[in-house]
Amino acid sequence: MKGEMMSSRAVSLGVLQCPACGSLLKVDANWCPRCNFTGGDTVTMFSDPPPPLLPILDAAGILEESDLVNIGSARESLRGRFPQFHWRVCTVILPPASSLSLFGFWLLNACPLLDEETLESRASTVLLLINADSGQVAAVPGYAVESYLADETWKLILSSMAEPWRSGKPGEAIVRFFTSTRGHLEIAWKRYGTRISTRN
Amino acid sequence: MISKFIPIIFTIIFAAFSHAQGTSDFDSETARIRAEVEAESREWKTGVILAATAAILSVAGLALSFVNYRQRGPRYFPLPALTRRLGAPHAGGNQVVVNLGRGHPDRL
Repeated sequence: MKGEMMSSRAVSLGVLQCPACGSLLKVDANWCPRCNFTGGDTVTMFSDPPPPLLPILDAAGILEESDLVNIGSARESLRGRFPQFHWRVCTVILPPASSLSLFGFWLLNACPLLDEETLESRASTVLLLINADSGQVAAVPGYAVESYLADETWKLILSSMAEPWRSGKPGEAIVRFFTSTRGHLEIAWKRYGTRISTRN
Repeated sequence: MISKFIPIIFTIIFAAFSHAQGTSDFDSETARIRAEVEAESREWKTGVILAATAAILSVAGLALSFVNYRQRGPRYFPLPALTRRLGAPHAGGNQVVVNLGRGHPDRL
C-alpha cells in the first residue's frame, strides 16, 4: 500500500525521461520504447572500469584544498538535516560528444558499492556531475530520492550554481548546490516528510 | 457637702484617664499587628507572583527548546518503493543537465 502510494507519487512529481533520448518512460520500463536504450548499453559506451564512487571525486582537478573543506562541511550539514540521503560529487572532463546524463547514469549504477554502502543507501544517493570543460552539470538521483524532488526542481538547483561557477569558484558553486538542495528538500519535507526514520 | 463628692470625682477622673490610656495602647498594638499582617501579605503576594512568573518562564523556555529541537532536528522521508527502470539497479537516469557556461579561465 505504501509502495503503491510512493510509486504514484514518483509519477506525479514529474516525468521520467530516458537518459539517452529524453523520451518519456513508465516507472518500470525495462527499455526505452523510442530508442531501445537499456542500462546495459552504458557498459559498452563507457568501457573503462568504473571507479569507486567517492564522496568527492575531482577527476578534473578543479578543486582546491579549501574547496574540499567547504564542500565537506556543506555536505555534512545537509546530511545532518536529511540523514537518509547520500551525496557524491564528481568532476570530469568528457569528450564533447559525450552525454553527461548517460555518463552520470552509468557512474551511479556501475560504480561498485563502497564498504559502508548498501543497495538502499546507493538508491538514496544523489550524484552531482560536473563537466569542467563544457560547464555542464548534471544531477542524477537514485530511486529513493527522485520521488521527492522533480527534474525541474533539480534544474533549478543546478542553475543556482551558475553565478559562482562563472566567477571561477567551482567549490562555491558546489556548496551552492548543497544549500539550494537543502532549501528544496525542506519544502518537499513539509509535504511528504516525517520526523522519524522509516528504516529498520 | 462638696468634700463628700471629692473622692467620687477623683475616681471618675482616674477611671477616664485609665480608659484613655488603655485605648491608646490597644490602638497602637492593633496598628502594629495590622502592619505586620499587611507586610506578610505583601511578601506572600510578591512570592506568588515571582513563583508564577518563574513557572511560566520555565514552561515557555521548555516549549521553545522543544520547538527549536523539532525545527533543527533531522528530517526523513518515507522510503519509496524501489522499482527498477531500464534494468538499472540504483537509478533510472534522467535528463537533468544544465549548462553553466564557461568558468573563469584561471580555474576552469
